[in-house]
Order: sequence, then structure tokens, then C-alpha cells
Amino acid sequence: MSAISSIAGFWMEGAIRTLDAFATGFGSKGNDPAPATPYRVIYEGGKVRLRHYEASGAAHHTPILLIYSLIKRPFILDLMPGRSVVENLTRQGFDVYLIDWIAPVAADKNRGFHEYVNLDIANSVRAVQIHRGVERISVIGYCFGGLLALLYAAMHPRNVKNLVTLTLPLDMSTRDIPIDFMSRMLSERGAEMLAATYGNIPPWMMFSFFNSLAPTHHMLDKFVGAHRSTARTGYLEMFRLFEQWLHSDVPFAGKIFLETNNELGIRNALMKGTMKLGGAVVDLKKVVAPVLNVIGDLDDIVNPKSSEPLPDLIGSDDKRNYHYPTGHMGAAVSSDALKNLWPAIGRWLGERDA
Amino acid sequence: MGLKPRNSQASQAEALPPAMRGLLNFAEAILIDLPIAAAKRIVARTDERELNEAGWKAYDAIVKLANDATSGVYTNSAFGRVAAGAMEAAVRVQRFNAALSGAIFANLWPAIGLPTADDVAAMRDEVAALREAMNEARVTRDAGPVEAPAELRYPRENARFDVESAMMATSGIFQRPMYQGWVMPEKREVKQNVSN
Repeated sequence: MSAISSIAGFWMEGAIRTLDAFATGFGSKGNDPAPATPYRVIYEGGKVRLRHYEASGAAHHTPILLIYSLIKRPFILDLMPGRSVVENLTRQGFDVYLIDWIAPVAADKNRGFHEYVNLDIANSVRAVQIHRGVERISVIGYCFGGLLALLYAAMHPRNVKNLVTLTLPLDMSTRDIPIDFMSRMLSERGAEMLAATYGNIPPWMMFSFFNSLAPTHHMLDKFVGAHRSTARTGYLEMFRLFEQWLHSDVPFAGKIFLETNNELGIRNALMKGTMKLGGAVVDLKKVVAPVLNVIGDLDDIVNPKSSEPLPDLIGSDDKRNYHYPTGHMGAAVSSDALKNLWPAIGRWLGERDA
Repeated sequence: MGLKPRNSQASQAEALPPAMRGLLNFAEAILIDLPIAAAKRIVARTDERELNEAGWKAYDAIVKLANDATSGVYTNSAFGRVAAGAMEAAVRVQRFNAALSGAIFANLWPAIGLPTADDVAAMRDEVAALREAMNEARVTRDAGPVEAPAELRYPRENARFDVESAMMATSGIFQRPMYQGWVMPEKREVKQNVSN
């Protein structure tokens, strides 16, 4: 009986969290939990608020720019002490800069890849170059942020010293896991209608889409999991922060949604070499920096097979896929990834620091 | 032949398709393990641990079955077509309703002194922006003052940056930086293929 009341308690807490989000809005900076790692905002412009996290001890020469996805708040990368990618990297001696995306408002519905890559990321890179007095920086992109990082590296190759992409959605022709089918069911006309109706794709729609991919998990199993793991030290705090992040969706600008659905999803333009940014064709062969492409073998949000072709498409001599047995978010928050994966990424970057 | 003896039951289970294997696990957990554990608990008065374990095994089998069923539905192209069609139809109806009600009421509400839906939406956006600004101010206040580093106010003159191409080559749009000391490259026109 105690198990049922405990699970019911977690379920109720989760239901209230979701209903609150639907009623009062999903992600915003004001709703973020307290940062685990202290930072300073060094630049704000366009849709970017650029944070700087100082390296602990002697710093590597090349700073890191972390680019996270556009659809949720980035605090998942700095969740809590001991469960923070940012903290992990600063402890390895890297100066870390994180792009904290500012959510688009109605007037931003015409923001596409060009605006995010050639303006926002380009400005952020410039800010890092000036702040650290370096010519080239390392860029780490996570999920959709990995796609943005890759596009930036292709459009502005001279600024990128190293590129790390994690769980990169690249080849949209894969058809294995539910999200492959679900994310590509919308026709071009349907997507255009959505964008015309809402301007920006609302957070509740993004939230509902991703939750609907694993309904049993989100409606029941994660609460049962919380009950079964109650005895584990720190688990509940972690669970609640993770839940908060799951409810931190922000609007997705209308134009970039259309480009993602139509150009990347339906036409697979990046793979075929026909994608354009600001009128220029994106040539992935122009990516010449060393590239580490981290693939989560248990990823159910980005098909691992979708990331795999990257080394064949880019012009770098030093490039490799790095398979790691983790899920989509496990790469950011699991204790195993923080103990093994991120130190490996740090070593890879450190070896290419000179 | 040098081959290790194989567990015939296990190999048979592995040979089954995943859906059948899930169903088999589910049946085993619900129809065999759980009743046996319950009977042991009642008859032999064993402790609850074994019954708990059998219960969680049954639960895991049910969840696995549900997840497999969901995946089966989602990977079905007919479902995709129906779901996409339903969504597009819903959005189309919403668009039509918005246009229709806009046309009918756009001039009626102001006439009787009531705000239109656009007015309400604009006000809601403004309130949301104010709320965000207030949150921002609170966060900034709590975090203490943030000063622009000297490097940003006075960029090094001897530093070479590949920034003009980043800022200008692909766009004429400028974004105003936060700090006044930020030195932006002068906007310039690049004329190509100029001939007499």
C-alpha cells in the first residue's frame, strides 16, 4: 500500500507540474533552477545571452563554446554540483562559454538557420575571441545545437579549432525508431500551416510531441522509477531537476521549424549538399577542424544511424565517430557519462589544444 | 564439435521476434512467477521480498509490452498518415475559425468598447515580456552586478580575428551588442565584378 501511495504522490506532483506549465508557460530564464556553476554574462545580443564559466586552475589555451538545442532551456548542462557538464569541463581546465538562447517572441517568427548560425553564433564566437584573445575556439554542440555547431563550422571554418558534436541529427532518411516516423509525418503544407497559424511553434506543442513518443514512460513509468529509486542518495533531487528541465520547452521560431521540417526532414538537404544558409550552399567539406562525433548508442531521440555518416561528409583529416552506450540525455546527466565520456572528450580536446 | 552446450529454452526464446518475446516474458511473469511467489508467501510464510521481486518483474514486463506496442503503432506508416492528416485538418479548422471570427468580430468589439483577440494577445505578450524582464531583474539582482570585462570594453588592437566574414559576409543585418565599448566592424559594401 505504501508503494501505491508513494507512486501516487510522485504522479500527482508530476501532473501538477505539467498542468502548471500548460497554464502559466513552460521554460523561461526566471524559472531556471539556481546554477550549479557560477558564471558571468559577457555578451547579449540577438537571441543570445553568452555566459562565461571560468576554468578551475591552469586553463587550456583554447576555450570551449557550448551550443545547446533551441527547444529547451540549457540548464541541463549545469544541473547540480557533481551532475554538470559545465563543471566537469571547467574542472578539466577549460574556459567554457555557453550560449543561453533567448526564446523567440512573435516578431522573431522569421528567424531561420541563417539568423541563428551566421548572426547569433557568429557574434558569440566573436565575443569569445575577444574575451579570451584567441583566434580559434573549440565548439561543442549538443543535439540540435550540434547541428547548429556543424553549420557554423562549415560556414566559418577559420574560427573553429575543434568541433565536438553530440547526438547529432544529420541523416533524416533513417527509419528505425518511432521518432524517425513521427517527426517526418508532417507534410510541407502541414508544417507551413502550423507556422502560419502559430507564428512560432508553441512550447506546449513541442512538449506534447516529445512526451507522446514515450507515453507509458511519461504517464506512469518515470513516477514508478522515482519510487523504486527513492533510497538512492540524491536521486530525488536529480529527478525533480530533470523533470523541471523536461518542462522547460521554449517556442521554436517559425522559420527554423519550417527549414528543419522541410529542408532537413523531408528533403534531407544537408546530407544531399543542397542546404542553403543566407543564400550560400552549405558545403560540409569545408569543415576542416578535427571533429569528434559522439553517438549515444541507446539514443531514442536522435537515431544513432542518423549521426554516423558525418565523418564521410566533412573535409577534416582528423575525424571519428565515438560510440558511447548512453541515451539522448544520459550523455549530459548520467554519472557514467560524467565519469567517463566527458573526461574522454576533455582529453581529446586537450590533445588538440596547442 | 567443440561447441558449448546451449540452453535450448533460452535459444528458442532468442529466436522469437521481439514482440513475441515480450509477450512470452509478460506471460511468464504474470502467470507463473507472480502466482508462485504469492502462493509461497501465503503457504510457506516466506518474507515479502520474493513477492515484491515477482511483482516488479511483472510490472516491468507490462511496461515493456506497452512500450513495444506504442513503438509498433508509431512505426506504422498508416498511423503516421492518419495522425498527420488529423493534425493538418485540426490546424486548418483552427485557421478558418480564426479568420472567420476575426472577420465577424473585428469591427464589432471595438464598436461596443471591447478589445479584439489581437488586442488581448498583444497585451498578453506584453505582460509575458514584463514578467520575463522582472524575472531577469530579480536574477540579476540576486547574482550581483555584472560588469563588462575590460577586454570587451577595450578590445586588443593587435588581436586578429576572423570576424568580418562572420559578421558581414553573409548578411547585412547587425545585432546591437550589450556593451557600448564593443567595436563593431564598419559596414562596407563589397562590389564584385565591377567593370567599366
